[in-house]
Amino acid sequence: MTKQSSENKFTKSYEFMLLVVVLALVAVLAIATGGRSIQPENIIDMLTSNSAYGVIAVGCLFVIISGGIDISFMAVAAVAQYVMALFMLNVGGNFLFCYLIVIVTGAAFGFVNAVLVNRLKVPTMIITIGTMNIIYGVMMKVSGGKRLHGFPSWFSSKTKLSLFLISVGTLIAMLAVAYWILRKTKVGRKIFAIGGNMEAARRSGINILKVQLFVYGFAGAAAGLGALIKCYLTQQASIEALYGDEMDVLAMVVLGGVSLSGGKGSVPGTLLGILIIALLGNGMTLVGVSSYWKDLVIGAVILISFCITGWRVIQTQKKEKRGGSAE
Amino acid sequence: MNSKSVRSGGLGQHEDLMLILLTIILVVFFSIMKPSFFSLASFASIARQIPEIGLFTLAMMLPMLVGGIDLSIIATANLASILMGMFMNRYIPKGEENVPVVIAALGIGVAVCVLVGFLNGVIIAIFRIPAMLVTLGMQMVVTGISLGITRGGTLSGFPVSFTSIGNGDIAGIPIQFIVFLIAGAVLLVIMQMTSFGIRLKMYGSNHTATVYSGTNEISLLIRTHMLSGVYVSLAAIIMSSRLTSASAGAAANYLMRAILIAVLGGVDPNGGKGRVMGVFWAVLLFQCMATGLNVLRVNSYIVIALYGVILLLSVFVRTKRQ
Repeated sequence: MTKQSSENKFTKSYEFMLLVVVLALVAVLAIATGGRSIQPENIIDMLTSNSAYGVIAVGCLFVIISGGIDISFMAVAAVAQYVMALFMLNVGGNFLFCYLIVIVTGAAFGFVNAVLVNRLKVPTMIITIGTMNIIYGVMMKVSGGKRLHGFPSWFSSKTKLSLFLISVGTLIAMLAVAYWILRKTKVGRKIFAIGGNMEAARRSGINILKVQLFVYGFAGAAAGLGALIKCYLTQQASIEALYGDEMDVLAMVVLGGVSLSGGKGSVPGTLLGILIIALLGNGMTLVGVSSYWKDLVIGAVILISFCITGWRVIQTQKKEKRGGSAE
Repeated sequence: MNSKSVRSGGLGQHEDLMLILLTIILVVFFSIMKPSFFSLASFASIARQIPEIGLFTLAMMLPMLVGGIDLSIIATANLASILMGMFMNRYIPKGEENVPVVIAALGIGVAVCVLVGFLNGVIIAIFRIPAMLVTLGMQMVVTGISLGITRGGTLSGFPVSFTSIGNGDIAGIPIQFIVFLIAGAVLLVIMQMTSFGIRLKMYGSNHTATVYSGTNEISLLIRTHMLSGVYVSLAAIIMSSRLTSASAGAAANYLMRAILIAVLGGVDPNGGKGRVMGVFWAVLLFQCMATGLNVLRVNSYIVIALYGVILLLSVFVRTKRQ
């Protein structure tokens, strides 16, 4: 993963394999739809409609690299969206406020998750299932399941440019920030360290709680940003709008090469994972496959990618063993 | 390790007592709040609902014992229900009865669930992918198949010989409750008296030691998930016959409940610890609570939030004890 990785290593990497899959998918879809899929309009549409979940996926990537998994992100996103919508309807404000509100709300819930994950010695999934249910149940009761709409004109008057900037622009910024954090900062290295071996990280003097606060806070903020994009696209906010789509987001991250137990994962991989899910969804619509089969296709792609990843790891382990005995 | 396992035996009975005590307290509380709760009708309804969720919890307990989890159980049960329903509707004309066909349908249900368990086990054991991720993917695949073949619709109109499994009774005891007791007893025997059961728990508490003591890890994991599949299929049969319908989205909220009850019943999500009796008492406690909250007309969203609180609380109590 460092700079010494040669070109040979790159062509053997998981990301390269994903890139090949993405290019192959683009080519196949272009042929199958007679070029309709590669028209700029369709590409922009596809990117716009997938950027909300893409942003959330980047947050999940951090959690998974740190060795955990967060199921509550959609519930957190829903709350952030609702709070933002209430603020817009009652106070007004502008985009800067919106961004601040969703980031702060999301991060606050993330901090709660982080403390629970740090204190309770059970898999993080069990904990976040608990927080997810609490958030969802309380918010549904408080909001009465109402949909909020009729936002101020600065939010509801969409132009093609603003749509692209808010959705794809936020996604690109998110990817860039995540890449920078993971590759260039101390906290980024610490996230990999606690995911690789938490006990070793603790003994080498890393404050686990601080790193977890950062990781889950970041994931919560990402969920909030995704909710903002979704709200801007659909022009409505409700608790149930996002709840239940957890799998679609996790699929992006998991396809991006985090499949092997913590300490691994990369931003380029997640980007390619997002693209694969986007292409599959978009392609099936264009080709005219019933949306009922969507889950099957995405699930099958995930399982196949697991088998390939697992097989490659086994092969390299075998090779290392053989090399060791030869010496 | 040795002294710990001895202690955990004593702790187990202590935990059972706690669960029974809590159940009694809850029943008394609900009976005071709403005297109509303390009636034969509500206990009959509890007895009818326990088997499904209990079997799902046992199916969830097995992979949790080896340190995994199975997120595909509900989706698999729905697929099995749909295939059973399609088979029966195809070979039994409306209004007629044909017991051999129903039995064949039950066989299909079991086979489907065991097959999904087998596939889960293969990917987890051979390709060494975390159970949570594998079963997440499997859940999408299985739900996708269910949605695809039903076009999102609901199947119904099953013959009476099938629907009586989930609605009939023998000497006043619901049939599904008898099935649940037998299935639970069988699992109790498997866990305590067979080498498979003992290895399974050992593997959960220490993978490396178990492998070095001569256990075939791959076959153990695959068999665990196949056995879990058997319990999923029993739950599927009871569920679809009780509801007299099958669809891709049925019983979605059972997944979280099964995890909650397993943790409540003392199954350690990190593997190695968990007992059939603990799960049994936890199911009883849970269902008394669910029925009681329903009788008291507590808002269903508050109930969802409450389940989350209970899950975190029971995890918290367990962490404190350790």
